[in-house]
Amino acid sequence: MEDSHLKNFFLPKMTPKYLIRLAVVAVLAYVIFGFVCIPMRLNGSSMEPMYHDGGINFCWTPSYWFKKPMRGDVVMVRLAGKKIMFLKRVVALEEETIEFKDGTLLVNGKELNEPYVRFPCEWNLPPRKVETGSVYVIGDNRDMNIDNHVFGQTSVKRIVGTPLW
Amino acid sequence: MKLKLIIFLILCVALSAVAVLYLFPSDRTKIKKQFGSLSSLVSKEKGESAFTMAYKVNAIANLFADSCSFEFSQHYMTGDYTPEQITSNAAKGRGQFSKISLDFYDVVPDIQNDAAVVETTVRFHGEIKDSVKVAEETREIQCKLKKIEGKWKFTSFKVVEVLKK
Repeated sequence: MEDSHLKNFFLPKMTPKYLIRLAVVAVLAYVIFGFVCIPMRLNGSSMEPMYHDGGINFCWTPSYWFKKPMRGDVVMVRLAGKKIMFLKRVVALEEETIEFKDGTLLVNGKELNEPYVRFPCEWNLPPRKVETGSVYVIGDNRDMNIDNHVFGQTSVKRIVGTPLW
Repeated sequence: MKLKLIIFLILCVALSAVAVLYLFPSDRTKIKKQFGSLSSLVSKEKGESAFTMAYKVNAIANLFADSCSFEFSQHYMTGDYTPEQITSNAAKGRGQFSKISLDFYDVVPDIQNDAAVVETTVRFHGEIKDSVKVAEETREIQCKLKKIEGKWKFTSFKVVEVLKK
């Protein structure tokens, strides 16, 4: 009895019902992992110490189906497609002014409380205004030369979702 | 018997479709193949022989039109180049690294007659010779190709600014 259950589980009969079930699972997996919860492997250390190089995560796209990114959100910014994305944190919203003074991030001239930044930073960046329809994103790890860190203003349309954890 | 005949017919149709796609590739497939060729010709393995290097560097020239424009950054390789100049620059560039990989992701061509525009993500990884340093770049680029005598050739490369400091 148990043998036949095992046999049916590992070597099921190709009945029409089984084939339909298989097709439904395949379509659901394609939609979920292709558009809703996209698997990602993290590459780089720009979001240390929260996200580590080589870690595995998922891009949860429903996060921004009905709302816009907020300050402090960790977001995934797409490039040409969704196979490669930048993982960054939103620090300023549209129409706000951003600058770095001796490593301190100022938004509209006021210091932004950033408990997620754990490493020392000595960046200096003159003030600039975030354009309409854009947000300003930076990585948490600022313990590197400002020229080597990829950050800046990006269109809200490029933000695909948030990491699942 | 009837089921076997149906399965046999389905297999025949599937194999014919694969054969047609393989023997008569679409422009879309040809353009994707062109990116694949560029990727494999630029890439370099540790201990690459002089013969392989010479073959790869010379073959790179065949992928480009008589004049190809590059718009990377203000300081690096911006301007119009002939295939010979590209070959020379490729040889110089490859000489600085012991290992190189250049990969294209999300290659989606927009084809209009004999011209195509492709927005893609490119990832460069290079291990610098006699050093432990590694050069890594990930950028979105816009490439233009032209069909010349039946072959798709690159006519321009431009970096798309996803994050604007």
